[in-house]
Amino acid sequence: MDLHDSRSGGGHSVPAPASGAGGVVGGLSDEELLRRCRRNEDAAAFESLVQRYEQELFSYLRRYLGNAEMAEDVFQATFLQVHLKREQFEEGRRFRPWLYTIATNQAIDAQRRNRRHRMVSLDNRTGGEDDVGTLVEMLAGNGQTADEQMEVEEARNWVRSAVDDLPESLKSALMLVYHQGMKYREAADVLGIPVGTVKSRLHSALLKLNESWQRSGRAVPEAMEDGA
Amino acid sequence: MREDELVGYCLGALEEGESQQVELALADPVRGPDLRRNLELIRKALRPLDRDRGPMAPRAGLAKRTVAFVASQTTPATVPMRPTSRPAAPTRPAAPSREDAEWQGTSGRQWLDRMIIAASALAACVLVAPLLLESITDARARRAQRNLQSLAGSLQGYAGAHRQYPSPPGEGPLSRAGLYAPTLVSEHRLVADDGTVLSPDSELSRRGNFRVPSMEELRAAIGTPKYEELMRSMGGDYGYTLGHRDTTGALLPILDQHRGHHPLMADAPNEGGERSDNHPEGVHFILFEDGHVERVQSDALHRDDHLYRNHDGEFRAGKDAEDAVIGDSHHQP
Repeated sequence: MDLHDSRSGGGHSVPAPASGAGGVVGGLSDEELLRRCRRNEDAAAFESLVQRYEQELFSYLRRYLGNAEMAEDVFQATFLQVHLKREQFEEGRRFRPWLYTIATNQAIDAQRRNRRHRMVSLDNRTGGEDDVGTLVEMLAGNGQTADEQMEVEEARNWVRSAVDDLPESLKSALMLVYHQGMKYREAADVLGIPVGTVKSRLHSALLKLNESWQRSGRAVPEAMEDGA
Repeated sequence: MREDELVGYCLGALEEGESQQVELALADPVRGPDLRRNLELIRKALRPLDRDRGPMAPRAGLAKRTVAFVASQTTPATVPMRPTSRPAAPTRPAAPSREDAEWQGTSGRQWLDRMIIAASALAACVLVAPLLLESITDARARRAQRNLQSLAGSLQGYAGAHRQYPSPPGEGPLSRAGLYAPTLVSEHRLVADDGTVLSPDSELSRRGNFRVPSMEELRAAIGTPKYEELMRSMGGDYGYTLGHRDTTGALLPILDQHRGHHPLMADAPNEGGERSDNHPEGVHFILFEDGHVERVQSDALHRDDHLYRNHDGEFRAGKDAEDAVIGDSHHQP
């Protein structure tokens, strides 16, 4: 599978239809919907925003937290914050990164309350600007990655566990860019860090994951081409 | 061509111009072959993640439940007056009942009734007095909590306008935690009552003449004996975040990141720096970045992270973004 796909960054511009009676919300951007929420001129605008992100944001939280019930609680808490802080949303800013910032922080709060947060020092991180090429070097000596011998379900569980074991800062960068399809710049906006830091954190996350996979001790057969 | 750029190219995470540069490099007859080989290895490195790629669907109706939840949390609780479908019946005085006639009784019975009522009231006072004392203490604690909630609103107002919370300078004579108060009160007039930064029944509160100094007063006091007194008192009874420094040592602006686990203000530490003396019985109030206030006992104060010291154990700014430190008024970041 070719992973290079042209992802459409930015907020959605094609809205999901709002349910129930209410104003017309078709064709409105996220930012315009939020503007209407702020002006209290369209009761359906807020519901439309929630519906628009129901699948995408829940999926992110579900994967981040590893628990469906907690993900639902955090989803609701996120939109409560969106509603309470709608007046603070600046004109000209994009809604999606703002939403994900709130959601990510709510998720961290939930994990801490449930004592699942793990603080791992970044002092032990691998990779970074001085280690360009180490991911390639790590894989160049092996004809195949560890996943090609795994059963599908086992591989999925193993990947989730390995990602969950990553330090919070690396995990969030990986989830936003890989799973949510954000560009580096958008993920940087969500996390409140420079673009370069997003790049290095994602790179470090991949290095750590590949180290884990290689330490798994599984034999590495010949590479299989995508689609073969 | 850096590896993280190739990773970004694989994931579609680069901006359009950056992607074009990668494509040009890949097409280059000299550099291209090595880059394409590296790109393929990176794609293989990403392939295991594809095992967990699909979306995870929520339970049906999540959006509706969420809208209902938000409405329940943000709508004032009122009991609506519902019109009745029945016409109102005409009113007329009721005839005295047999029970009413019996209750009118003799004067002797009235005296006994009054004695019983008086005895009951006395017993109630004896029982209620300790509760009253406790409720006075609770009332002071609630007032302190309301003060912090009021400050939360002022801080949110400041953050809305400036995209950051009041942030003291990284260096210099005004680089103190307590500068938040003059910033909110005198400079931006976001706090109407100076007493909002005081804890009920504190020494500063009992003096009755506390006033948050203006920025002009602070600058004029630099180098004078009054300077230290102002530094120690200007923040009132509450401590404020000292922020954190980056790896170069620069103090970063205190951004509003809506983090419900990150303290922004709290009861100021005493000289020992392990707890506050603002309230009896070890009660502490902490205001978090998302605007909620928690009541915490002293034995749980430093459960996740020391509230008043950074990760190096100092009364200084945090070592990283998650190292929250609440400083007393005179503490320097």
